[in-house]
Amino acid sequence: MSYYIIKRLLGIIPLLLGITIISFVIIHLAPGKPTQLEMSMNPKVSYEARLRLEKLYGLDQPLYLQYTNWLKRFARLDFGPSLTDNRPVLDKILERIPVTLTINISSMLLIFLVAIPLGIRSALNPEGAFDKITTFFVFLFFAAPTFWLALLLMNLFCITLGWLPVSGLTSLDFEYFGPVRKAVDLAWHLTLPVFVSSIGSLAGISRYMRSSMIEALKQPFIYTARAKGLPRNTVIYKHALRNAILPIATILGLSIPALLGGSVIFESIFAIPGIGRLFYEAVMTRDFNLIMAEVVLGAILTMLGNLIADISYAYIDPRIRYRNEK
Amino acid sequence: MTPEILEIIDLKVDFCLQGKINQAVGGVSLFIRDHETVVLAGESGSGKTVTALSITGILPPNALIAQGKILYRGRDLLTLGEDALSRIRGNQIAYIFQEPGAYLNPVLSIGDQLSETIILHQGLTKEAAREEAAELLALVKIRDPKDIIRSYPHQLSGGMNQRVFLAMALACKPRILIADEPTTSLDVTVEAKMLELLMGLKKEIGFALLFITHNLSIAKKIADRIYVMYRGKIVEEGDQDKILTRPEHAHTKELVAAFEKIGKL
Repeated sequence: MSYYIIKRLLGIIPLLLGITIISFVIIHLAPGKPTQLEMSMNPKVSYEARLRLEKLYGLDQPLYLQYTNWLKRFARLDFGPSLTDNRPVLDKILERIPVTLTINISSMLLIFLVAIPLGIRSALNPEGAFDKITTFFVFLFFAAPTFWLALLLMNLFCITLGWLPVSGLTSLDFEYFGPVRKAVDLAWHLTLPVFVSSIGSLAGISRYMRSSMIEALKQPFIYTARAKGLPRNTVIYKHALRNAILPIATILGLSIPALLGGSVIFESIFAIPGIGRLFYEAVMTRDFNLIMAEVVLGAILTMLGNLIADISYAYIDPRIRYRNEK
Repeated sequence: MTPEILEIIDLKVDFCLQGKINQAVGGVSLFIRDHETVVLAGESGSGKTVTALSITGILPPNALIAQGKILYRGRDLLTLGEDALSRIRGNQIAYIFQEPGAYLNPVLSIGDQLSETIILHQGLTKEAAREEAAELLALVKIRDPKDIIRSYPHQLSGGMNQRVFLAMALACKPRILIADEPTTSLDVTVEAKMLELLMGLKKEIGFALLFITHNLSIAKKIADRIYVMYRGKIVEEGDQDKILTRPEHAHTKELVAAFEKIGKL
């Protein structure tokens, strides 16, 4: 198994190179340069000054040189300065990570803790009353666009009822709170964002779980488990669930990159300073260094997520575990 | 004559398929005496398996027992609650099925699946159950039981899996073993060995055997009595000799003739 993991980790390197080359080229092919936005609107900046700045950033060099320079820095984990405020890109990303991670981990927990039991419960009596009611709500939430749902819920809970804060992460006097009060305040602010960001996937994954469980419960080995006299819960949670959870493990692994991805729309609506907004701003200002850093981050997370999905798959399914060892 | 250990009286089972009700079993009556080998023969789709699954109530969810009694040692199993029934399943009445590969759980080790039954019905500890599991594997003539215990169904051949299955069924020394086409998916030489093993263990442990098959040559080898099932009903019953040499019902005659034709009887 460890041999397999090492092999897969080494496989990430060429893939990452390919991804960075392609993204680097695409970013530079897109119209606009970081210097343009700052200066074309400003008549005081002369053409010469602009050229000087481009030279400073190395933007006047041929693309392949720019890429190899970037790669050299990347090899030392130096992503360079942000082209908008000259702060190190890595710092800018790191300071956004806690917020995005908190929201995404909470919503992921919520998704799996709710979706899996929901799916199982529906599968136990498909077409029953519980299944019909959840199906209705699941499709409703699945189909509803996040931004629209967010606005409706904000209107209801924050304005009409006044139970939750409209936006932001903390109250104005947050600094003066004790540690417990701080945690409560943060949770209070995160309730609606976490709910809104999970509801769509929650609906989807509960459907996956449902169909996967229905399929597992039809398998011949379920008859065996029942014929042995096993209690109903053992049949469901040991024999059926271990088979039904396989596809869900894949989805779980694939959602790992989304943990840091963040969402532009959603972070904008709730005024949350997360990675999603950072990326959006980077694209709008053509902040090449920041964009590349985010692309690399996303690529690595995606590949690690795939690996984790495969490992957990092998852990659950001996048929895959033994094939890998050969 | 030994008394009946199991008696099915006028069993009717309906299946609900896409809102329509289909009768799978239409009034089956049969009995099995202690230590007896009874073969339930018939073509596929005749309701043999459904009859067998009805005995301990492990039918699929869309099936409904509409009528009948299933008396096991005088008690009607159909009136028992789920708890009481599950104490009988796998403990006093055990099953083996066709295609052991599909009927064994692919993600649980052989040892887990074997000891599960032992822990459940005999209340042994995990370690003791694993010891017992290894002994059971030896009982069904599996070499290196300690290795097999750690393996998974996909690593074993069909014949091996069926032996494992047999070991699992016999774990609690059942009074009745219901074998639903247990050799159909095996090739002929493996089938012969399997039957030999089964009949040997039957003598050793002393259970009654309800053997379901479409293959009359197996019936000829093992049956004391034979029931012939056709379209959800028992059309003929009797001692092996009577059914195979002097069949009366048209369908039985057809079956017997078919097997005679290919020289298997």
